Amino acid sequence: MENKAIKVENLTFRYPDAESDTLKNISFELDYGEVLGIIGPNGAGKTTLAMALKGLIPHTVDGEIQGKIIVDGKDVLKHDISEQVLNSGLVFQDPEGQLSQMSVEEEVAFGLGNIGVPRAEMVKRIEKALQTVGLAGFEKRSPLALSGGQQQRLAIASVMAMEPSIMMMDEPTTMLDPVGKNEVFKVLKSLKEKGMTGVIIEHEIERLTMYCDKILVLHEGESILFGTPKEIFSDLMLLKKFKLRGPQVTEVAYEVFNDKEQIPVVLDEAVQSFSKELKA
Amino acid sequence: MNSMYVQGNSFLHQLDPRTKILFVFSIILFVFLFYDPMFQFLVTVSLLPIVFLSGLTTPYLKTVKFMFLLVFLIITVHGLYNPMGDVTKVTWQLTENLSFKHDALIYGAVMSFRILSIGTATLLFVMSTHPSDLANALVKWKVPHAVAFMILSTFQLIPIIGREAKVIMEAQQARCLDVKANMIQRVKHLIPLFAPLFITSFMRVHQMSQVLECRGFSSTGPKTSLREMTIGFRDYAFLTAIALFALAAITLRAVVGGTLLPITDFVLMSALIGIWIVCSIYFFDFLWKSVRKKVV
Amino acid sequence: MSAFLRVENLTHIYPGKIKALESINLEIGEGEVVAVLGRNGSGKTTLVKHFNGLLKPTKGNVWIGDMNAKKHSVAKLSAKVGYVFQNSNHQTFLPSVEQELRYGCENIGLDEETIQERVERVTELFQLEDILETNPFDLNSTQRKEVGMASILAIEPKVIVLDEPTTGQDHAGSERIKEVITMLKEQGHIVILVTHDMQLVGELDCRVVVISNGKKLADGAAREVFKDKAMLKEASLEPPQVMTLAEQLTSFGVNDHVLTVEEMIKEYKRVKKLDINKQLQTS
Repeated sequence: MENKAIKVENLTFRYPDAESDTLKNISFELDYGEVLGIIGPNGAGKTTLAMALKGLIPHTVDGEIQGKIIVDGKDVLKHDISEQVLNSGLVFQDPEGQLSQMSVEEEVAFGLGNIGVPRAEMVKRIEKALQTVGLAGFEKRSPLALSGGQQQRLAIASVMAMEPSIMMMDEPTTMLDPVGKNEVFKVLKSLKEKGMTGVIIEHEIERLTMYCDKILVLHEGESILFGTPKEIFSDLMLLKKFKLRGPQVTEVAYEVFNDKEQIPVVLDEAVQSFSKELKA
Repeated sequence: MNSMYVQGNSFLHQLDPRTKILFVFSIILFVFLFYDPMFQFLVTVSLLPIVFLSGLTTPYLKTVKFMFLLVFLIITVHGLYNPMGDVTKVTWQLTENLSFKHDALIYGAVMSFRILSIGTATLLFVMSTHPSDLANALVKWKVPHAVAFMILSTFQLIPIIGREAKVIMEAQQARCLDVKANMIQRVKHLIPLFAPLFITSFMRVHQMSQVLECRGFSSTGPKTSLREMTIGFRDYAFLTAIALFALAAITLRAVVGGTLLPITDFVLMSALIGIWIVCSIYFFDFLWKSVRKKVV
Repeated sequence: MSAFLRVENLTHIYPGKIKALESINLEIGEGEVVAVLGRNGSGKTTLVKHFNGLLKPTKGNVWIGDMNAKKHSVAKLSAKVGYVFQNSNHQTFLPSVEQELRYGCENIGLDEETIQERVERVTELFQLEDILETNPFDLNSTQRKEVGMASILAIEPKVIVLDEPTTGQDHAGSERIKEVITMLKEQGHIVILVTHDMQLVGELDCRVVVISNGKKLADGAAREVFKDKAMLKEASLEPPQVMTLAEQLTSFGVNDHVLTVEEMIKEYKRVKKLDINKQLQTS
């Protein structure tokens, strides 16, 4: 078996008492070092998929699950979540709801303590994690006294310190203001540069395309598209049919460029290709 | 601040939480061994130097005023109305049919100083112990990890729920709910305020449980902690002192009995008037501050 | 006639002497849509909370029609200024959508007939016919938001404050909320948005008020205000992506006035056509 970070095969899930499946026959693969973005309308099953990848489904949430999920070489369905903390970590949407400790450093230490990381090692990891998310110097503060963006960065640091192979984030910026969003995206960028393997669910499509190698489009539990951002957005009409949109620059380019293969997905690229077109 | 913990580096702060828990228990033991207001008063007073030395004077004085309000009510109401003991033995006749009775006043004074001394000891403990250390101490005493976490997270949850309650209150007022209506109406209004609060709190706790799973909360094997805790020389010295006091107290109780000295009317009057004076100081302080706030 | 909503020299100081707003002046007239922009903690929420009396001015006055907000209770003012909270869970608690819609009307003591009439009106407006019996907690987030808005609208306030209406909404949900806002505007309501969603503001093409550190930094049409890059930076705001694209293409004759994707497409085609004409002329 080749070494894949995530391998999902024919994943189907139904909540108890639900009339239909929330996830329908989903399959995809992700390599190490790649970041996957999951997009789709509300109710498409994005969060459910993230919970399944993390193993919260089926280990803490009941339901009928079929198919196979291998994350970092481990069969998620067969191992309890506590056995998977080194394989994957999940950052949730609500920043404050993830914080339970009395100070910033203890928040990061909490997960480490649970898995029995020795104290000396703990101190080192806390320092490194807080450094990465730009919260060095905040060690003694109460997590409740932080801004939303700082809280979310703390949540990321707490997951990161446990050093999971794969980072998963479920709409980490949705509840933040523009400043908070920028702060979190900056952290994501530096993680990406360090070769993070990750899964990010995000509404803000303009930002998402800057950090993703692959995008998975969900609609009513089905995976309708999977590929690189370029591949996904070259078929904008299909996305529109599912009430989704592309980045603004992509939407403009899609309308005015003849060569659909060449449409830009991020701003810098767009400025270049538009300049080129206008010069011609 | 989420808890009543006051940062510091005093002798008391450095003690192990377990030592401090034993200390609180020993104070409870002392005050319940004897039925003597003088003794209770001495215990209370002897705790004050510790308050001062721990650098907790200001927060202590702020918090203790609520206790004084309670104590004021207890000694006054009991002294006037408690029909216990010999009701003909009067200490202070106020009007024709209103008087402070001797036995009832003893009961009121004993209760008051018990509350004050136990309260002071508990405040000393809470104010000098970081909640995380408390949780750790409990874990060391073989209290399950989950229970210790629950105690700790309560500290965190209270301010969050408080803030949430305020938002909900505003949200319902925006739907023309008149929160300043009469009493009966207000009781009816508890539903629109508490139903959303209950639901959002429930969702919060539910999510927290998932967060905890992701952080390896239920992983088996040894747990470690960032905060170091060791029982050292200080703790042994402190515990020895407590043990000696306890021994002395128990011996005294066995030999002399529950009351050490005869309780005179003078003692009782001093207790009553003393508590009144302290309470009125707090009251005037409160008045002064509210007036000043209005003016500024 | 003076504007319906007037803010005169409003200063708000929180306990602890924290100055949240300083000398704000603002007039909002009938049929206006105004987006209040600014980062968290800028004072924008403090400002709009004065409109329905949740906060009272430390200095200055807020006038809602001929009512001085200082002198009336929140419950009274809420009949004139509807406030839809960001998190529907804070406002919703009754077991059916219909009861939710009736709730505000019952609070202001309307008679049964009027309540019926209003519930029917908002039901039609938001097309809620099929879900009247449903428990709001069984609805998706867009529907729940709509129920929240509808229940406030049933009170028939002149002014509607929407706090972060598109946060957590998907594209379809945002589109729907945009439609609702346009509809409310057409009916003569004043709509005040507190939002971070610059794309929404761009597409609404509305008036914006920028608040930063308790002061009003800018007030005007989004198109004009968004041009002031230094000001946007101070307020930690970013214009819609197409606007940034247009700005970087001005050397080719692209006008940086664009707010939406559609406008950018038009603008690009205009410049391209000019180009072709020029080329034709030179050759």
